Amino acid sequence: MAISPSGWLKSLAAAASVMPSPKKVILLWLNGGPATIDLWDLKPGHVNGGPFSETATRVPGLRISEHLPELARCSDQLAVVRSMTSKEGDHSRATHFARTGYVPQAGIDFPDLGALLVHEQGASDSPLPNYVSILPPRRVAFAGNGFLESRCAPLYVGEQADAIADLTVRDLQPDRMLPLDRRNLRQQILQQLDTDFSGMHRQPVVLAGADVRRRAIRMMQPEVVEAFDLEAEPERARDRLGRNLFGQGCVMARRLLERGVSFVEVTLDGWDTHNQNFQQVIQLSGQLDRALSGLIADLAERGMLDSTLIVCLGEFGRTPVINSNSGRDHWPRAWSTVLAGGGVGRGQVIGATSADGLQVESEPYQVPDLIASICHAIGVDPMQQNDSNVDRPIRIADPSARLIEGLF
Amino acid sequence: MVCRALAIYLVVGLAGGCGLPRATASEWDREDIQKLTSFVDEQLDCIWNVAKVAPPKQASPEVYWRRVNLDVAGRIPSMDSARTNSQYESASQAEDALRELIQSGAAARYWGSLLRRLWFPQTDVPPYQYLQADTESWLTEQLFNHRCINEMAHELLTVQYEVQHEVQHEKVAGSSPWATRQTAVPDVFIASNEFQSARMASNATRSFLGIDLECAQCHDHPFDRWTQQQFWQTAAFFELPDNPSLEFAEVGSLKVLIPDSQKIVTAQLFVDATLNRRVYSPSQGESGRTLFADWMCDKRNRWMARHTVDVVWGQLFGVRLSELAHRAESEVVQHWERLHAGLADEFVARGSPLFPLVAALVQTRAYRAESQGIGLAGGVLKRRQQLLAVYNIKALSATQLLDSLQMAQGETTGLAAGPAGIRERTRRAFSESQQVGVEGDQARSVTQLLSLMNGTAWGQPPAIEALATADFLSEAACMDALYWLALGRPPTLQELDQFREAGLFSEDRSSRWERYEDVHWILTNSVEFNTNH
Repeated sequence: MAISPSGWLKSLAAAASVMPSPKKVILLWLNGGPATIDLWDLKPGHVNGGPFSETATRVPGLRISEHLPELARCSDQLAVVRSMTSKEGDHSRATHFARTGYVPQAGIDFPDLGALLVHEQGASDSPLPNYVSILPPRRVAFAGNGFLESRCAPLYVGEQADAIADLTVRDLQPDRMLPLDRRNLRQQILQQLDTDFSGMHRQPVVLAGADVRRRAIRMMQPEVVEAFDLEAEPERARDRLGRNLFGQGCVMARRLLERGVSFVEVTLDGWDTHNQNFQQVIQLSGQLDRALSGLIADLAERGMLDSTLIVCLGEFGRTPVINSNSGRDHWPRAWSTVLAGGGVGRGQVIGATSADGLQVESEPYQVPDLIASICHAIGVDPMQQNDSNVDRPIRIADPSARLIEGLF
Repeated sequence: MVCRALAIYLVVGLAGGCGLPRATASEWDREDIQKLTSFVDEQLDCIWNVAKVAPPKQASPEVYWRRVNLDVAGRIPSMDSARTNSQYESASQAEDALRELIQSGAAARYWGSLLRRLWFPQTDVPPYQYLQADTESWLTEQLFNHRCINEMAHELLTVQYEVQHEVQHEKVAGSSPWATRQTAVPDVFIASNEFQSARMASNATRSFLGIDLECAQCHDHPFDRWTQQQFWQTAAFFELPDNPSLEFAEVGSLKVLIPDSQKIVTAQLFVDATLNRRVYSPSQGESGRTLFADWMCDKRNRWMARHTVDVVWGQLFGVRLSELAHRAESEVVQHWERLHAGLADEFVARGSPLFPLVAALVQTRAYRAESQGIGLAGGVLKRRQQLLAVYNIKALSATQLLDSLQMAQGETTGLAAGPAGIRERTRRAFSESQQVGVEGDQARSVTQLLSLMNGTAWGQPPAIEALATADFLSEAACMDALYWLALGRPPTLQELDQFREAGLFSEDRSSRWERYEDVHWILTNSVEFNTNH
């Protein structure tokens, strides 16, 4: 049932009373704008379809790329939305739109979805930050916490990473030249002084300051550092998701969720395929197929799939028309996104595009609809307002947003 | 060695300098400032009396001086300044020190930066960050020269803009025409609003007057005070004159079409007030902006004064006056409102000068209040906080933290002395997104703390080197110096015992360097260092 903006608020309010505790989110960010026409919404037989074949899946009527065989096997855990549409065809603007839910507005420092969601979920007992971004792309200025407070900022893992060994957190450990006994002594006395100070000054800002210091110090402890240590993961588990940066980033994402982090994003870069699209998409599909299917299986085995929503998207799709370099260019008018877990993925196929892939033919959805639906799926009110840096209250999702029909 | 050791006293003593010449502007009127302080004290006494809470105890001179330095100059005091000011015996000595601080270039620069963020918050974010440096420089210069708030605001709103095509061709061929703007007053108001009347109207009313007119930009809201028509009538003031060569034009000629409607509205004030004049001279470079700015900055108009004192109050006390009134228990609401209105009147009566207002407020009993809450139950402490009967502790902003770190390290160059652009980039790295003068949760993120605790970007503090090599200084003197450097106070006996017990306060001179590094790390990472208490 389509829900109007005014009606859906009521619907959400009613649903909120039965919602379980907030779920966690893994965002798989396909940076550069993936050719979703070559992944989730193929056009076999049409000149725009390219050389790829479709493969059948476990879901009747759902056919996806032949280069996603593992995902075809777990397709009953997916929800494929084939009718996403927007007007933003520039990387920077479209990335901003897809990640924040708003087109750039000069002077407003919009926060990422991750920051918005962890802001709603409040502080946790975990020493780890609530929002972790693994493999943030180098050339894109991700918004981070924007106008929200610092605690909502992402912790970056593997900035500038070239190899799996680079999947580390900057400044997580003191200088290696500093002996362990001196590190411990420093931390011990610091906590002593902070305890004394906060004992005399019982104001919230002091107590919060002492608490975040305790968490930072705890984060330096071996048992927490271990959260970022992929070597501690069984070989089989690491192999399952692929021995590449993205696959191992997804392994780390799952490890972090197990340890209390509530929003993790992992970026797979390289989707800006203006040239030689098909060779590149085959290679990227292989990474995506293995990592996403492995992640779904991993979470299911651990009993975490229902409480973890996986969202897989990029900033836009790519032109159905193949250019002279065997590439595809930017195409925001019709593209797909995929969700899994979180009680959402049940093998749905939502919306449809035209035979040539140029247009959305049914159930068009915008980015704010996706943002509102993600919020709804994890138990956050998308109409929640936050004060912006220009003092104007701004809702998590644009007020015009509606839930994606068929997801829930 | 002696020179190195002495250097610490010199560098931290001189670090309060600003690179600007000393102020030569006229003296403040001490009596006026005292009257303003007394007015606030009387109102707060009344509030405490009605609310039946005891007036606050006063903070120690060391705590007060650190607090004032952070709020006036944006960083902790130098060691020399902290020590000297804790020893003043007379009120006039302390007042002179405060006066010197407020007249310093550091204060002008800090408040110039705050005003830029308050009036043009959009310049914190691309694509308008390029306007920061010029705007802050201009505001700093104006504040240093004791320009009044309404004069500055008027100039910023009515700035003329003219592209110098010929100059551009000669000097910067091939670059953007905007590269040759030649205006003494920065054109930040029009440039950061893309010359759009609606955005200029929003910026002017929200940032200068504290009014949320723009909420009505698209349509009326059932329970809002302002209507869509009022918004666009305001926007009409910011439309360009039809004919710039006209000698005179009527306000009635300023019109704008409400988007997605057939309705054209004429410039009109959104409140029941009269414009200072209804005619302007396009040929003399005037526009509807001039008419609006004349009204906005007129001393009879209290909107701007009320907003300014509200924001300055928020910056100093951690919570705005309007918010105090909003949250207050019913019996004291009217007293907070009276204080707000009275302060705005006093501010205007004295010509709307920023620093005398700041000077008056930091001498009030509420600002001098101690921040401790020993023995107070949570609810009692919270109530005393809401009544300003205890000082509201604030987390240091990113700029305060970075400039204070530099001061604690005994650095004299770098961030604080560097161009605004460098400070801004570093500030952004610490995600300072809080609005000016608004109470907020500015707690550091774990990521930022890791950077502060383990990052290598901060380098070796010169002060540690100076102390570690000062053989003639005793261990006690060095520990004392480390405390004054970082926390603006001497160590307590209990703290010295803690450090002694941990082996960091000992007579082993061979380990000085390492020990002092450890102590400095501990003190600068402490909650005490990271808060303005």
